Amino acid sequence: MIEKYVDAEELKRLLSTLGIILGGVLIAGLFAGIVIPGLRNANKPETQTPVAPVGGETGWLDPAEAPPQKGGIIQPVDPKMLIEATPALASRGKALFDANCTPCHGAAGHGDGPAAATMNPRPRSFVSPDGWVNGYGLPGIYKTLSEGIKGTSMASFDYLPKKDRMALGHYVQSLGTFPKQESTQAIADLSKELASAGEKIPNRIPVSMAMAILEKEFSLNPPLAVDRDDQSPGAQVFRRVVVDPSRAAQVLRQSRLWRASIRDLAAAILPDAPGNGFSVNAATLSPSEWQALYSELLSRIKTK
Amino acid sequence: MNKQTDKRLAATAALGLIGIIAAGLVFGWSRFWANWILWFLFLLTIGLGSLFIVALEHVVGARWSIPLRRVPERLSSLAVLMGPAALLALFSLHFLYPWTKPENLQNPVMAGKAVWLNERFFIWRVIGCVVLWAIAYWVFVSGSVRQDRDHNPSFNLRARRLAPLFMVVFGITITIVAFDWISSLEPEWYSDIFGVYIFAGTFLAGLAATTLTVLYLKSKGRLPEIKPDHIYNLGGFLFAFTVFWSYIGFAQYLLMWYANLPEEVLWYKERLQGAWGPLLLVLAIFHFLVPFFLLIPREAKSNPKFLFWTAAFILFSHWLDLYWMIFPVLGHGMHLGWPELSFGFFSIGGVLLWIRHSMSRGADMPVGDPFLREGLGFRL
Amino acid sequence: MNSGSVLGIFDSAELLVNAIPRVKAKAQGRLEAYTPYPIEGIDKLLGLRKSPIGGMVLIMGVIGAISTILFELWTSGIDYPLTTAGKPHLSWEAFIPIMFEVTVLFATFTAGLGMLLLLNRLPMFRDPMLSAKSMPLITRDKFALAVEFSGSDLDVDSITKLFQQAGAGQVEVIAKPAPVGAVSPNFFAGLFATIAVSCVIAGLLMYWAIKLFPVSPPISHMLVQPRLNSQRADGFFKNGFGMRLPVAGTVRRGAVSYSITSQENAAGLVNPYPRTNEILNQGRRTYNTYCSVCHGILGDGHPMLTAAYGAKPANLVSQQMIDLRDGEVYHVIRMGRNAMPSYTADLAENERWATVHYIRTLQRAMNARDDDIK
Repeated sequence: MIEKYVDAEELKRLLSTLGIILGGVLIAGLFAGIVIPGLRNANKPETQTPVAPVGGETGWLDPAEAPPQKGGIIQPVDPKMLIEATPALASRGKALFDANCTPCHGAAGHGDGPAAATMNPRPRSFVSPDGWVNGYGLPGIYKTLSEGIKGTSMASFDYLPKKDRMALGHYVQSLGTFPKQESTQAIADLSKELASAGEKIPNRIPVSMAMAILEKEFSLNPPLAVDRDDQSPGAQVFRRVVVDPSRAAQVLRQSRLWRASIRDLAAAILPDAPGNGFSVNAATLSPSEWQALYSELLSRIKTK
Repeated sequence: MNKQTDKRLAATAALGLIGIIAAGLVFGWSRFWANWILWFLFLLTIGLGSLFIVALEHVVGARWSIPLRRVPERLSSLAVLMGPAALLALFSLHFLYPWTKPENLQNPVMAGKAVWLNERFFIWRVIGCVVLWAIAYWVFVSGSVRQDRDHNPSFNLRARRLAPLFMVVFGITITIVAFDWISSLEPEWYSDIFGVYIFAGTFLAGLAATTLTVLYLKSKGRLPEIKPDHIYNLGGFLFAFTVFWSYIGFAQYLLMWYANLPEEVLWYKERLQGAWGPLLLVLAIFHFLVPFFLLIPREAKSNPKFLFWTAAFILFSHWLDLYWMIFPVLGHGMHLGWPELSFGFFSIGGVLLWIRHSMSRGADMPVGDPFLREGLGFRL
Repeated sequence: MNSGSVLGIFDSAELLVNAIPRVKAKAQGRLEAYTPYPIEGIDKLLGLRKSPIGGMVLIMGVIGAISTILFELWTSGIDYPLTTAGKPHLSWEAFIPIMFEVTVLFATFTAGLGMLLLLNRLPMFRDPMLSAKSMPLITRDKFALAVEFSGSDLDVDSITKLFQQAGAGQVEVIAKPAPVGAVSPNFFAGLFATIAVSCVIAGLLMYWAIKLFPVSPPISHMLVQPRLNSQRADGFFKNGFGMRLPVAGTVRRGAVSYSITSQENAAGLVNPYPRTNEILNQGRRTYNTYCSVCHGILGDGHPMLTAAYGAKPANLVSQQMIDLRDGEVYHVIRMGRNAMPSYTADLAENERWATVHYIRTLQRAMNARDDDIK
């Protein structure tokens, strides 16, 4: 039928043109249909494997949102079992030492852990008898673990149970080969301490709950305000220096140190400006302006 | 030749002349010379643009524009006429151009540019440009007029050979005009593209003036063989070069805006303050948007009446462009009053008189050009 | 023959143009001309309707310009305001080049596709003119004028005579094709064969392309460039440091230098931010992002990265930490302590204080009072 209008030669040419065009479209379609989704699949995260519960306690994926947990009491232990070193205590001590102490004190207790270089004074070497702040007897080590050492990087480890602290103490002692003498009086005090009332395990609540509680307990201080028309020198300096009245009120009402003198006022507001609601221009005030600001603030913020 | 019109034009020019002298005495000579520079450059760009059209035709060997060629040839006499005006304009140096003041040599930028911007070299450049334009006029226009009489086709060959050379001369001289007369009003300013910007305005002004004159002559029945096809081409050129001007103008602005260098943006900052900012907006609308949309339809480009007013509009926008560039240096807001009007009367009256006079002599078409017939037969 | 057209073949454009008014005066039916090159003004002579392409291009160009401006305003001004080179977010100057490009894009695509698809009805290959015997001549140096007729309202012989009088060299009559029926099975077979062959060829080409041109690394452009990582040594400056210290005594604009040098002195600082839900949540985000990696999600110093970590992170919920003042915690975040680096560069001032609030929250959560549990 179509041969009437288009001769065979012409038809062949047209159809082959069409075929080539369609072939091109098909190849483009193949790309669109196979290659691009494939690329997309390759970039997709892997199929999810079941997530192991974190912390091993609640099974909640976000440990910060574990359901509330009542604390408890660890019953006091027999001091005799802890004063004397036992293999069980030694192995527990080694595990705790590896987890908590090696980063600073080193695996062998030489005071050369990877983080030691960042500390001043350097961490203690457990193999040398010199300079132990609380002595290298068991009671001394126990005291150090419980309270930390002020002015150094040694933190308090009082969150470890007493039993764990004793195990650590034994392990630390075992590292040094120098002789240790224990005063019997100290041992007796330590035994008494260990035998005293059991330790408390604190209550736990989910963080969101704690956030709600903290928010409820927080009482907002009313912002500082000064009249627009007030032309007294104090008010003028105030308007220049206070950029965020509510934050400034927050700072001044919570802290009392600044009340002592102008110098203290400057020390209280300058280091954290402008975040604390005061302009950095405060650094350029003249002494008389400081005086005006100081008396203005004193008159505005009454002690509770 | 209508004597009545001549008399009226002469009266207008005379009135303008009285006005400008009075303006100089009343408002001081800074404003007088700023006006002088403005009108001198306005007429010079028309003349140079026309000369460029003539030379362009020879370079590319265009045939369609041969029947129209006499019009830009006559208009390009303005480039020669403006030679004395340029020499007179040298008196403005101490009034308007800060680099002539010796105390400004303390300024390191101006001191650095002093190699180029010093009075002696400036004057030589002005004289050099005037001489080069006069030579070009003599080669292309006088040669063409001579051909009317002797029908000697060797003129075409000579013009064809010399036109590319003129293109180079034109490119350099128009850049010198841009840098010396306009850009050096604020010598601390840098813009490398400024010469191209002024070229775009110049070519557009030449095209608009040519279109205006062709359409006026045609309406008086003096160019009967010009067909709508020729006029359509003129309209197309106008359309294209409106866009080109906007493109270059915006490119200059965009780059300076982006880089935000103090020595570049100050020029724009000055020209965006006060009434100059709205004037720039007006310029964008008058010089680009209105002609652009007016000239889009096909009919618009071949409708003589419509194209006449569009070309006049473009010519006015070109004047506004120059005004926006030159007048802010006077400071103290926008100066637009009877001094400017007097200069307008004087310049336009005088120039129309001159053009009418030159139009009254010789043929309206280059009758000696061997390709004239081909040009007349041009159809789109 | 019910409908079709009569073609007069002319030797020159002038003959054709001159013939048009004469044919138009006598013959009914639509006139159409076929010429090897466009002849200016012939559309007016033929009385064809004006092409809509110009209007379409204008409208699409304007749409392109407006939609691009709106798009740019929305993306860079409203939805994701990103400061570039210190310019205002709504900088129309920067939008113009893109607006220009898109305007041109819309306009040219409209012109090209509108002509091919709308006016030429592109997928249609069956214009009966293509089968005219004189078609090869028309595409070379002959000019044809066609009178289209439908029904039997046209006297073909008189038109033929008319053409001959007007100077036509020859006259051809072609019939309009009948409505197209179903395409033959052969057509489909050929089509699929073509597709299959194209696929095979494309596959082979691809194979050889990969075989011959080894896979090159992805274009890396600016990743590979001479640069210096922070905290690295470099010989460029005399002291061998790659980084420069700020000039002594310089202070960031709008700030004063942090003058507190020890944790004890920082105890006087107080937290200026209230404990609102918003700020606590901000603290939570910051803590989980920056702090929890070392201090653990609960703040108990049991981080996720223990094995990779060279230091023992502090237990933030221990009694010792509870006893610290807000200012001291803030100071440590700001200045670092032991192996902990300073977070001045990472956290803004309000984020640091919010983190302090959140650490207090963690401490409360891990050491809740009895009446907190209900």
